[in-house]
Amino acid sequence: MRTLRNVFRRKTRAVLTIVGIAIGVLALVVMGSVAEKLQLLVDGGTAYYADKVIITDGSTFAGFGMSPISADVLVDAEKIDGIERASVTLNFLLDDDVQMMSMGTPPMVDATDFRDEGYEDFVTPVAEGRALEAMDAGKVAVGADLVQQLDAEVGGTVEIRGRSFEVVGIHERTLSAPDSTVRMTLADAQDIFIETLPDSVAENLEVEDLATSIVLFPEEGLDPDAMVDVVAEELGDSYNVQGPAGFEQLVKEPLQIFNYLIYTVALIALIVGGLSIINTMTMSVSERTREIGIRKAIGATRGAVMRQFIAEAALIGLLGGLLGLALGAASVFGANGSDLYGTSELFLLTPRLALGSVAFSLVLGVLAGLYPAWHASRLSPVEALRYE
Amino acid sequence: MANALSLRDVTRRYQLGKDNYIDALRGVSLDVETGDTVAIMGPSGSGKSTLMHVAGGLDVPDRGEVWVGDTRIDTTGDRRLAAIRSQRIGFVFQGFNLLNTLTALENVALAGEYAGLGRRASTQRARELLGRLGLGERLRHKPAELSGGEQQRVAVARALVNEPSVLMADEPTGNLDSANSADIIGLLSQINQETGMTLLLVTHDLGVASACHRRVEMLDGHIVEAEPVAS
Repeated sequence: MRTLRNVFRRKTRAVLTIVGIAIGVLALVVMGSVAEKLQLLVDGGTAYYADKVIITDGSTFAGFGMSPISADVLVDAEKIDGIERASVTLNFLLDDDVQMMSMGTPPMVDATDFRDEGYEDFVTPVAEGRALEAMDAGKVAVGADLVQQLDAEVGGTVEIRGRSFEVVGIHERTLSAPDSTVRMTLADAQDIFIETLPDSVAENLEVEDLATSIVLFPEEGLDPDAMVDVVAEELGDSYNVQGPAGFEQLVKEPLQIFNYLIYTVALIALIVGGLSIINTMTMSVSERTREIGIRKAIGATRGAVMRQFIAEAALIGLLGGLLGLALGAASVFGANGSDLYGTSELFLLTPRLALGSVAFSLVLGVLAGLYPAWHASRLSPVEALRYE
Repeated sequence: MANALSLRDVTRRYQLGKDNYIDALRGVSLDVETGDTVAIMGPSGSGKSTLMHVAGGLDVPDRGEVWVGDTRIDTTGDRRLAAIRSQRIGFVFQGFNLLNTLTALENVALAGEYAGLGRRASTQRARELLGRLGLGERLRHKPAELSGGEQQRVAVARALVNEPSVLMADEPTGNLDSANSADIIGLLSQINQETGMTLLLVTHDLGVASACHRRVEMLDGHIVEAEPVAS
């Protein structure tokens, strides 16, 4: 209580300092929430890519594009020594024109030939209804983030690219890519996909031969990354062959740099706030020189004086941290609730980020208070008492 | 009787600027017996406040020895010195020196807390003391809401809260009118008589000094005269 009273002795100054810290923490919370969300997406991707080799068209960028590839490749791929299973996958954007640039993953259609059943460990659980099955022509299972956009409910119908589909299930929220994915059978997806291709491309393709990637599951005990070269050599140059290491190199490392940048910017904002605490506390110590002299005259030790001023600085840090967290949480939940950044949620405010932000600003307060408190504790009682 | 305070050949020089010194104490020796009341007198700049600061552990001499009872305090560290100021010396100042943001009760209790008494016990003792000094109705008032005489009573209560062996007062009536001055001096004499607490009083005022058993006259950092007050 006394510490609180001392901090708010100069109300405007205290409030301005606290707001300064709060802005830093707000930046840390909001930017950190983006980083946490992206991290989760990448973790999901890492888990997905961990056990497989993926073949895409050689002209696609880095193996994540959506250029058509012949499903026939599967037959050759499955003959390769060390490959136990191959499965055809077809992915394309859910909407034909992506109006909004999404920071997360854009809404996608995902289809497989179900040959991956029993091999694919990365299965999205179902929250309502049931999972999509091989014979579910004209049916879909919808990712959690798309329920609202598609107005989906189990047993109802949704419209995708001008066609109606019955919803058999809604997936559990994973906070990663499957949340913005609609799963349908390969045949349904091929019917839609062929229409999206330019005529010159489409007329050379058979609809049942359409795929965007072939997923290979190596035999147990074999390193997928080691299989990448084997598969590439067998299939020739016209394909892009990618293993888990490729994904890490392409996505994980750039994301790490992005995360460092995000946190650096937020930390700079906080350090500026920390400097304002030092400024506030230094002024406070200088204004209260006489008070420090009185306290020492009546028996305060250096330690007691230091503790008092550090506690005041720490309280400024803590209040700034809590205010910043409140503002940050409001921004993050507000932005997630709106469709400002597309349908998938861009921000993820994790408990560790929330606690970490407040703890960081508290520690910052303590550190910022150290020098002014040390200076206060070193004042000679006689000189401090003479101070007017 | 044992000495409550002893100074042996104490010097204290202050540096005001480059090559500009003030010799506030130039080899001062003084013994104050337990239970005695001593008035330190002299013109401004004669070193009487410095004498009190050094004797009370607020300042450290450049040379010489300072004893509080049987404890030598001029060579002791900051923590011990703070403990001596807290538990064995009580200070009363001319400008009252109360903390403006704290109530009368909190001001007095704070000294108890610094002595390690705990907040509850300190507050209890502070309440009793203020009650005895006639401020039972003014506990929750801040210094700005109290008269000068009341503020100085709070300061006296604060000085007494840890039952020190020596009470040091630097011009305690300097900011008070004559009625309040007489009141405070009467209070200090009464404490001395009732508890046997040693009293060291720095003053310009002969009337105040006459309440003491002994008078020490200072000039230019020296004690020029130390004599019992004629009774």
